[in-house]
Amino acid sequence: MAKFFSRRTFLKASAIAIGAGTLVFGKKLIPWPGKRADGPQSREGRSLSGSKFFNKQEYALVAALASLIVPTDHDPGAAEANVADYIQSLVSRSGPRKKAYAAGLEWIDSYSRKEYGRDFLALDVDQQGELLARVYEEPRTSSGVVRDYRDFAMARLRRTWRELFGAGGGSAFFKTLRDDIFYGYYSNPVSWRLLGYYGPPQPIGYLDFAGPPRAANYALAVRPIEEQSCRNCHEEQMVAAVHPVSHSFLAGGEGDE
Amino acid sequence: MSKLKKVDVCVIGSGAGGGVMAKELGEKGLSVVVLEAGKRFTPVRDYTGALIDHERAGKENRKSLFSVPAMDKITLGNLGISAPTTAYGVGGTTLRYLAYMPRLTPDDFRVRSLDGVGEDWPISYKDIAPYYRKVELEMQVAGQNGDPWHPDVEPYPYPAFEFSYANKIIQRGCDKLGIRLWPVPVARLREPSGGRPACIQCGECVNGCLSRAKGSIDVTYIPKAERTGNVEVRPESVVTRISVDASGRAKGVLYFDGKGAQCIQEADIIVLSAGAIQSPRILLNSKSPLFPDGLANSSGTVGKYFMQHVGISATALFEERIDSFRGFFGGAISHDFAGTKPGRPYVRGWGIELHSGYRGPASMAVSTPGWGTEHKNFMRKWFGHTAGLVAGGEQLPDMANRIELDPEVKDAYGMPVPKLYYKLLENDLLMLKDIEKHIRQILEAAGAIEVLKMRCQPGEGVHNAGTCRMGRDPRTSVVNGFCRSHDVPNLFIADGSCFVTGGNANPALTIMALATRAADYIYEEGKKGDL
Repeated sequence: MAKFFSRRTFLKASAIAIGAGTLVFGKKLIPWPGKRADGPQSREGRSLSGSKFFNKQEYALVAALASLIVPTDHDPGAAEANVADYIQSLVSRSGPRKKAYAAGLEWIDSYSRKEYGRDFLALDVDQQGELLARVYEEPRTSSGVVRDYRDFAMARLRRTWRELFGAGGGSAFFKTLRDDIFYGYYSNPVSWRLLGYYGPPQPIGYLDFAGPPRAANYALAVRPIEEQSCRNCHEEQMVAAVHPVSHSFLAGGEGDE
Repeated sequence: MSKLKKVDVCVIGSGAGGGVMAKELGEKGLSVVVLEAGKRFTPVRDYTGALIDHERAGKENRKSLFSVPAMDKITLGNLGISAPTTAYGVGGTTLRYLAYMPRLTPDDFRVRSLDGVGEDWPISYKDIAPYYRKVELEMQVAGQNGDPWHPDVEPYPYPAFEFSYANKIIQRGCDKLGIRLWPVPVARLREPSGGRPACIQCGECVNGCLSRAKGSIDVTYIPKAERTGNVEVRPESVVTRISVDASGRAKGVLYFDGKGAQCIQEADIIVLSAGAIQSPRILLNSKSPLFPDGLANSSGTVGKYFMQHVGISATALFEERIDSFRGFFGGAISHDFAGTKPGRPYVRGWGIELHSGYRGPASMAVSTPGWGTEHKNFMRKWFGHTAGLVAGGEQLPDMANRIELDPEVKDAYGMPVPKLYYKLLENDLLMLKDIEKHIRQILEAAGAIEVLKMRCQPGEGVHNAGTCRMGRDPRTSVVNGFCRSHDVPNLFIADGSCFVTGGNANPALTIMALATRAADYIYEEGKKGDL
């Protein structure tokens, strides 16, 4: 890395990093659980294989986080879209996600205990939101569109610093969690109704693509789900072949409760 | 190690170069084996366009399905770049392309003569034009001839698709600024043909075309090749080396099959079409006493002159509802800024492609910062209101932008992984600044409320090219105008790596035309006994 810095900038940057590091050290330091010897895998009630990775408490935690990220108001939110089930099935199918979620969920609880002396689920909604706001990092945008090596060098430095001292692992996990929750919620026809989206793109496509949107299209978005995903489909078999995940997911086959 | 029956031609790679080679040579009666590192896909089973959570599944597919984790790792030699986009599988990167089929312009072949930069191609537009035509007919391209930049193109087999509504929104801005737009020629079917249905404008091209309406190589050239009875495609075959005999001719190809067993495929002629990253890697890894610097590398230019189209992609918000998730992702192009123009501080130029912004609610949600009620309100208010455009510039070839073998990192087969060194030159940066200015002007003129996302990520782009460039002089190039190696008479390299300069056109058509031309040459020379 040294060859990308002039000596002066490098010294300046290290001074900042050291200063900031002390600050964090002086405050509160929550170790990332993935690195501990007794690891998150030892937590009771978890099955590492099979379709249900989360134990009851973790499932409730994921559901609470999902409801914070996509709250229910006059329109349905993450709870109505069964986002926790979606994430359960997502995590159960992927090795790297299992690791990230096991460590991340435990981290959120330990962070909450340090800050408020209680588990995350025992906090009231305002406190939960406050805690998430602290973990969430706005994606940084550089001044220009064309980023040069200095932007990347600084980004790398920030990342290293976060990993060493900060809520680094926590923030990275929160980004994964936020994305997964959005994928879960906005991939569910429950949300399409409030947006006026009438996917998925196949098997019928969008033959009206060249004209302005028609109000009649939005009626498609409020149809019953089964009809929605197979509409106008003349090849039943094809749908059965390409919809196994969505079908089992919508039928609640992979849910916990 | 198992030694397989010798064939006439062994083709490495099955994309725009290799797939075309296989069909053309197979039809001429030569026995051909195609070695492809990736898998063979069944669109209806493997692709994600019909899933409820198609956005996440498609995104994951892009990373996992079209890759070969045991061999496709790449390391980066400098900061500020990302790994280039590639796709592995029978059909190569065409599995994920948008099937754009524009030609290079006559000027693109003589950049050195015109502007004093880069290098001239050893062939002219006239040499390649008949092969452009042949491929356009073969791919049943839908387009409208007579555009202002390629006036001499004969009528395309099918009429062009209409602009999508998202394109029409941006078109307002282009019209105000006097920028001419033209429907891009595309290899998507207008009418059912050969067992493939017509395109239904689902817009999922980059995640793999589920209906097979998009003309990727695996549904066009490969089936035709296999129907000749002369071509065998072997998926999941990872090539590591090309061996040579005592006289310096290429003798055979060493590869690992799907079960991890090492095999040798001998052939009279070897065609390397593994793409601009893997082709130089295989050559550099094929060192031997006769070729100490890597096969076909007496010039030292194998792996050098790596280039891409340097581009900026922008997505903007509009007052009116557009529902831009409908239809093909792109559609309209302009080459008004292509080539060197007076009054600009840089040489060569760039092209514009309109696109539709976010493909669906989930991809918009994850790209929008924040969470909670605020985020939900934003989605409720603005979903369906996005459109955008991307502008890609012609990057000048530079020797320092290169693929090398990484001395430290090896893949699962023990082969050194490629290492990319890549930097934007002064000219590229000036061009990018100009592109950014024009993009903002166009979006503003089109009535955009806000530019949501503007992004330039060097290295991440597609259109990798230039690493085994063609030329007349064996001291400064790897292959001649017929893609034939200067050093090894029976070795051909037919893919993006033989590009001399990048032009502004999407490269698939040019790669296919070069491969078709090389196949004709192989057949003619073979008949004469000159190979």
